[in-house]
Amino acid sequence: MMPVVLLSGSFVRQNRWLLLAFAAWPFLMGLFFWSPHHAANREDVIGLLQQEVFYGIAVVGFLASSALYNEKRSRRIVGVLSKNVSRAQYLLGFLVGAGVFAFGYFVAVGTSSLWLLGHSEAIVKAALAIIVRGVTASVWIASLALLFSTFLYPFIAAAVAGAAAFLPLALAHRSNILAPVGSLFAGSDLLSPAIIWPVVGISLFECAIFLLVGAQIFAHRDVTVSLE
Amino acid sequence: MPPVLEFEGVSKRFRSFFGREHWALRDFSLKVEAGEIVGFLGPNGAGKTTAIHIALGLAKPTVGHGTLLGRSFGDACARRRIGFLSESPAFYHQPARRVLKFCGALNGVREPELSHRVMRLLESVSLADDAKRNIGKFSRGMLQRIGIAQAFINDPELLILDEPTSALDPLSRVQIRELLLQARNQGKSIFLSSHQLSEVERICDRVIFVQHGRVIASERTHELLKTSEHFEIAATGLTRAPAIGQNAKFEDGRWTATVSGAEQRAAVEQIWSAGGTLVSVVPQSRSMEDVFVDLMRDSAPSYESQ
Repeated sequence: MMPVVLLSGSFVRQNRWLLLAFAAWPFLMGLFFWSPHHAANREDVIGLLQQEVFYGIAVVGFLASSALYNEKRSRRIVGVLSKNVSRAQYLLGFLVGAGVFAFGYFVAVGTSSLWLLGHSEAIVKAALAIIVRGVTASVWIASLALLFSTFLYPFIAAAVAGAAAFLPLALAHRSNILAPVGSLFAGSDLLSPAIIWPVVGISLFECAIFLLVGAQIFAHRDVTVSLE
Repeated sequence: MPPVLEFEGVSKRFRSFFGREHWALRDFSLKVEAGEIVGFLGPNGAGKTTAIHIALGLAKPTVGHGTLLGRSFGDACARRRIGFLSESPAFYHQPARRVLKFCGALNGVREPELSHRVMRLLESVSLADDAKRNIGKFSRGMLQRIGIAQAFINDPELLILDEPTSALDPLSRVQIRELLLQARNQGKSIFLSSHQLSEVERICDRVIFVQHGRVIASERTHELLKTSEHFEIAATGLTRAPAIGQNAKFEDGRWTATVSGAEQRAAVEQIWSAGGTLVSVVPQSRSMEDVFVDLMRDSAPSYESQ
């Protein structure tokens, strides 16, 4: 597991400034709704959360889809895969890194909700639910983006993964299995404290499947890098 | 003892998006025995880097197979026991010390041994003073030295080095040469791809030449550089060109000519009988560059015709 820890650490380190900027964003946006005298309007906060959740998941998917491409372009991939690192560990490192990134971001989103709406028990539960659902959805899209990035260009991989995650939201009937991201954020109330644990479980199971399939495809592909 | 690296009939085909094929390796076979320093030479595009990438499992052979430290190509456990320096080493931008720790940890080296090795290797490549500097600010030569240090971090049994002395100044080259010879004395095997032919000549036990994806020669270095049984004879005091050799010439007050070993005695006697003074009889040696150029010229037409 050491390579996975090291690679995920490198992924987070590579994206640390982006993470810091994104973690600050919910608070900066919250300034528009914050008042020292009373809690913010619940509907305003839900609208804000909808944006923050969407962009958070999208950014994590995009980062995951371009991770492999960036490593090839920088030729670092040769240095890493020439060591005791399997292709599956390599992809898992990125996925864990993407999960840590998502966790950092959604903790900021949850905390900003508490800041805007007050520290009631219901709001604390809602903030925790946002973190769990956000991280799960982000990891799901990241695993799908990683899978596609093993054989597609990063932009296409991100687009395909994004379509798989968000298009079903527009459908009337949502499938927990085909589109868990939609089910994770089912209903318009993002401040609902409910976490549909079976959907979280299905999402994580699908992540594992995507990762295994991605690792199999990646293991059969040559690592080609361009020289300076 | 089994070879540390073996290719058996490996061919590698690359296909472009439009289906155009290019064979980077064709029926490529070679062996590197334990404890050897083997030079791997060939012109640009000969297939050297492709062969190395296949050995490391970065690319799959289209045909054939091979082993690295007794395990099939691509086996991650075998990679744990090798040190590799790529042609253009690239690392995450962080302090030099952390780069080496990262590389060592990926290969399973644990603390406190890891920290000990990191400092020792940084000293051996003269970067101890820069241990805390971010490698993003390093020169190309410094990066190359970090690359060499990381190849040694796991105390490997086999070192696979792709152009280890490119971008290095003469002093650093000497330092790296000593490091490699020291490694050989410790029983490590080294597979060295390089265009620095003088380096190869100095440190390699055996040299493998590759062109157009095929091994065209594999010889012990001293055999390759052995005199070609020709001698250069210099003499003074001769009034006219001696009737020796094919290419006698007069320069700086002396006649020089190249003769074969069989003609040597007769040539010397002829100089003496003509009243000349023999200045020197020097066996002609070839440089690795001569060998390389001859081999590449000789093999090119025969291969092209296939």
